[in-house]
Amino acid sequence: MMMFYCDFWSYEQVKARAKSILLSLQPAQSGSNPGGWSKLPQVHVMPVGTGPWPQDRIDLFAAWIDAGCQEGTPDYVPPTPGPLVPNFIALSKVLTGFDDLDILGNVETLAQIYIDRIVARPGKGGQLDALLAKAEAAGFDSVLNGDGTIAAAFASKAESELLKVITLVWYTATVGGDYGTPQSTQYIQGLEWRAVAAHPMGFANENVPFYWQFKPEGGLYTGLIAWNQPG
Amino acid sequence: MSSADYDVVIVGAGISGALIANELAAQGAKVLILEAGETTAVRQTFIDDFYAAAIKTPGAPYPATGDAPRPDVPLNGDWKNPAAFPNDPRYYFVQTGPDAFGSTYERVTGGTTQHWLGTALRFFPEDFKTQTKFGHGDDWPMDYADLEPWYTKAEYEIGVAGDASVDEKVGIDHSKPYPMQPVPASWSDQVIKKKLDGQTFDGKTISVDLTPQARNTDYYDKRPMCMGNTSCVPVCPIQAKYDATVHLKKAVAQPTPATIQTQSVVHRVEVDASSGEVTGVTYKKWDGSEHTVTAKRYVLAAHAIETAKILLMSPWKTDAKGNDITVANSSGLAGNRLMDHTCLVAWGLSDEPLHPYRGPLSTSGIGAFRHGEFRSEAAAFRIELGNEGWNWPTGAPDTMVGALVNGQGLFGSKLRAALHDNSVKQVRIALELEATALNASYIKPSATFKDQFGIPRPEVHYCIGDAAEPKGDYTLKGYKKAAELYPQLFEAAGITDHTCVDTKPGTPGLFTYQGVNYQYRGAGHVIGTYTMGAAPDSSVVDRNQRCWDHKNLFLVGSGVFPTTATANPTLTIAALALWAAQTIANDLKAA
Repeated sequence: MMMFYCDFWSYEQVKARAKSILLSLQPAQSGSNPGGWSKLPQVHVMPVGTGPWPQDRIDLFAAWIDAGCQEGTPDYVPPTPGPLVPNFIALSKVLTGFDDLDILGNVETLAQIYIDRIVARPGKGGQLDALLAKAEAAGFDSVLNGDGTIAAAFASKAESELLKVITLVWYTATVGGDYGTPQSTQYIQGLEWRAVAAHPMGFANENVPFYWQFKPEGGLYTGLIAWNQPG
Repeated sequence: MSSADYDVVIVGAGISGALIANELAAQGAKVLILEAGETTAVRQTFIDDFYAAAIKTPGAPYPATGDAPRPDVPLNGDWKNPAAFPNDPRYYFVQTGPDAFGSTYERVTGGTTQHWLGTALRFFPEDFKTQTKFGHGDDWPMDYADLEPWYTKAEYEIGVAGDASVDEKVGIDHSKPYPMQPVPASWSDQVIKKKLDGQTFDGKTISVDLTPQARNTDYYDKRPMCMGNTSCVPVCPIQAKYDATVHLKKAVAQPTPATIQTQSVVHRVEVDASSGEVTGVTYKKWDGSEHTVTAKRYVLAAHAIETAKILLMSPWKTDAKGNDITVANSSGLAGNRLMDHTCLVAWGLSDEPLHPYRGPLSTSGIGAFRHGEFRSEAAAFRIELGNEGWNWPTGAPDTMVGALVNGQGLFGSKLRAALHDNSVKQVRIALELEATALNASYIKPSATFKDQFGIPRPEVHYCIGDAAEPKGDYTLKGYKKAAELYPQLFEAAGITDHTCVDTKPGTPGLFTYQGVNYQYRGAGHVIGTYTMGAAPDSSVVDRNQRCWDHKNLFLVGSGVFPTTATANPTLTIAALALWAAQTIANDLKAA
């Protein structure tokens, strides 16, 4: 699932949508757009910030596009997906019940972030490699019984603890009490929200006005998906 | 006075300070706002901090450290441990009372409207005269009709969406409709309304009604309409919910712009001992330097706890008996009668999907128990319907995932289905209780514990009920009534009760009344610490919120409320602030 969402922390995403962003920065005539200060009625700007951009800022953004969208030095560089990622994703799909683990199109990066966080737990360094290798050899589906519990072959204390940690990080973006959130994008991708059929609290993407008065149907009115975007 | 630095100095950049500053600046007055905390210009920072917070308390997005410390929600355990501060803001309050004070506030520009829910209820006419009508509490020195024009002005200033007919059918008249159409009821509200409306409980006929909210349902005042982000508390990502930075921006854009000076912690009001005139307010900047600023009129708008603390830290005079009297306190009431709307929070599972976690955190409520003759015996209460599942009381959905994975050992599609099936049926209500003014409930500057500047931290001695005082068990009787009522409502609405009272000793809000355990949570409605009244010996300010003791000093905010009633206080705070602004403007014109 890909939401209509632009991560403004992401150079690639901003570059790809630069012209759309420039268009949406054009201010509305006073009161002409009931949705906000942009002249494009469908633009749901989050956060609203302090209102319309001043013209000199818009001109600066336009000049940046004209100059070829030069990349600066980012504050945060996400990790490069490493060799564990494919097996980690395959196992995670089984454990979570989700075939589509991300909503921002960054599943490999997100997987590496979670691997790093899981491995960084004190005294837990080498266990993940062994578990992933064992699950691959046995077949990832064989990790669970049909009733959703852990199969006997993976039910050792250390393995089941690790399977829980992997599941919980995808669902809640937490490892223990640690949200470990470079640029907050982990929280909003927590699978729990999609399981609940609702958006992450503080991040609704629905652009049907007053969507909450409707019973969700067909994936709409959950706050998860803009109605005019592919689900 | 002609040499004063400003016409008006306002202490605190919350809703009262912002509204007064804007009104006065619009009339050409030279206004300074001193704010203890930091500016809140970059909303994205708060949103990022909220997303990143493991426990999403009302204070989660806002700075917890720095030089303007503030409390956070007390969690289980040793909430009376003041030594844990400054590492843990949950212990900023020095709690010495028998009961935990569960409410918090923010010290940033915009004040606590940064994290408020946005509920903008008016009081009932009877709320202003509870002593006369019910023999409980003090009457306000005003009637509903006196405040009504200010309620209306406040609703248009902050932008309230609502249906005035909901009020009018129970005797709360409106001279004008709300400026915006009401926020629609959530699906959950609609299902519950169908099951409950028209039924009678405890002599009252139930109607589930839309809540008036300072939340846009239209493009209003250059802010967008609500998009249902479901995080009103602690932060609206798009400012569809009103917060006081709206009026701070207006105040600094007036032809005579107001000045907002942040990182300036006021700790003393200076008074001429002979004339009783306030001659300045003294503050510490975050760099440690101390300054005094002068004005023709002074307004303390620093929150019910910090304002009372400033008064009690400000020496004034010695009375005939040799007692030291602090500023504005010849009545002895400053800091006393600390009150809060405490909430009995109840939660359960519906017999059909309600689809919570969508829309504003609350869109409907039940007002039947806010008014009526029973108030001569027991506290009134409002019932708020939540739209956020069990998130408030249990921390769901995180905790539900944890219970399914760690507790039941569920994974994969079975986990996903189990989480879905439970969560879509969750519902939460809060029964928000009227409080009673008790002598045993007060705040004062701590003699022992100080903040970074050596300014005393608030010692909070909170008591929810005291059998030794007249009507001292009024709120407790209300809890008994509320706890007997809500299971009947749940049953009629097809909701299975899952409420649990944490009876572990030390749990904040745990109390026992007539052998039954109850647990309350703070509503963030801090009330009553510099009460208004009709006479100087029984109140701190008059109905214009002018100190009886100092004619050029005004105290505003919910600290002036003589009683709590059952309405969330912010609309009444705003109405009273606008009233005070007019009084101050008239003063300045007359001078």
